Amino acid sequence: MVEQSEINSILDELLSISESEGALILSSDGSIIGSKLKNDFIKSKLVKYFSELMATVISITSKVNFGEPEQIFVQGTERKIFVHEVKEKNVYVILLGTSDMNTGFASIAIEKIIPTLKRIVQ
Amino acid sequence: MKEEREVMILTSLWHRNRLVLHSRDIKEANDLFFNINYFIPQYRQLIFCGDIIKKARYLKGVKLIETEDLGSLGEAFKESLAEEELGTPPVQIVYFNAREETFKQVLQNLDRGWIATCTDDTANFVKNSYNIRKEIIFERCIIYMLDPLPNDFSIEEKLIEDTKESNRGIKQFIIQMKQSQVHLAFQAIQDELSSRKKVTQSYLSETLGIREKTLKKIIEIGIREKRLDISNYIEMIPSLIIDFLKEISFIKEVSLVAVFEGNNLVAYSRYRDIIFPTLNFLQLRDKIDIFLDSGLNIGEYWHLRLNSENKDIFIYNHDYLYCFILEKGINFITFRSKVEKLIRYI
Repeated sequence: MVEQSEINSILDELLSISESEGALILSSDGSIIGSKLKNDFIKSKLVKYFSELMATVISITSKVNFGEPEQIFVQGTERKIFVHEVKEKNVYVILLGTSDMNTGFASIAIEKIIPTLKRIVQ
Repeated sequence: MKEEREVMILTSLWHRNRLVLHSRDIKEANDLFFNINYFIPQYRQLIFCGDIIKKARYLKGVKLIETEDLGSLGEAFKESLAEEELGTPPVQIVYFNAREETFKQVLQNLDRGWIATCTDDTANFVKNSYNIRKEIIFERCIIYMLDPLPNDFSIEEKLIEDTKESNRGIKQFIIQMKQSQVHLAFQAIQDELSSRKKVTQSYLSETLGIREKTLKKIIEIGIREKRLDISNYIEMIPSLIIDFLKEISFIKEVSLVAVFEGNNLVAYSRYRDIIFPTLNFLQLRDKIDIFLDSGLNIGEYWHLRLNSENKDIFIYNHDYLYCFILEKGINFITFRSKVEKLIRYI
């Protein structure tokens, strides 16, 4: 069981970063543990595409013996995406933001919520 | 035999250049042939004619043609060479103790693929009739090379250098292995071209596991053995991308670089012994591009950094898709700036 109020508080913390636009916490099977989106993203599709992205990444890294994926960072001319794996919990934290979102602050914020997430996710 | 001579002889035989082995005593010229015959690719059909010595009769897979009718022999060889274009194995003719008439009626009509042994009188005819490109002088023999060597014979130099301490058996194995690789790769490329209009040099390098120099050799040998120039069907790496690869090669943490134009691999360079099919990069690109469909517009240009336990993947999507496998510990910010700086020149 996951305490939803604690998840919401984690999501709020991530979204407190300037220029952030959304945060998701997904399990490796694609189910949503928590999500908050500020923008008009289509949530169902976002979840589907992130699940597919992670499945592809895991498939590639395991086939070529690169070991487990740890994090993905995408920076485009319009947006930034962070995907961080919470080790041993099969959970991914995803943070979306505009291209002006501060990369350093975003990374620190994600690192900060990991211990709490590890504690509350069974 | 000195290494420089070996390189020239190996190159000539591999390229099917015409050679005349001359000595006062025909036995010496014939013996020289048996000292160098292991440089001839084994997949070629050896044909012996002339005064075939006993030793030659016991060689495996050799066709012996013993006829006095030089006119018919010349016609038969011309047809054999013509048929190579249609897929029959390339032939290598060896004419023992060739005379002036042999040259006039048989060999003069053949522009490649033969070796002749001869004595003094015939050698004088050869010197007066052909433009001798090079003479290799031994204590008792001379080899006349009737065709020019190719501009680049670095593969042959490396083969001879790598085997200089080896005995004949090992040397033969290593040389024949390379020649067979080139021969089989040519067939594979021909097959590939029958299903595609064009292939890129990088695609071939990756799928066949060959380097640029070997690909050039495949093209050259293809021209010499099949009279077929496949270079027009192979897209080479653009020069600006080559410069990019050269600069990137100085960064020690880079293990592999692949550059795509659309779905076509236009450049590929591997600096470490790792196996990573480049199609994986395209899969990752597609998984990023699809986010647009969810309303998440990442932008026209983007880069992706994927950290895993043992290695990192970096993809820079610009006019080309630049993909890298990196060793752990690289400074990403510095690396990305370097890549961006280099891309600006392309």
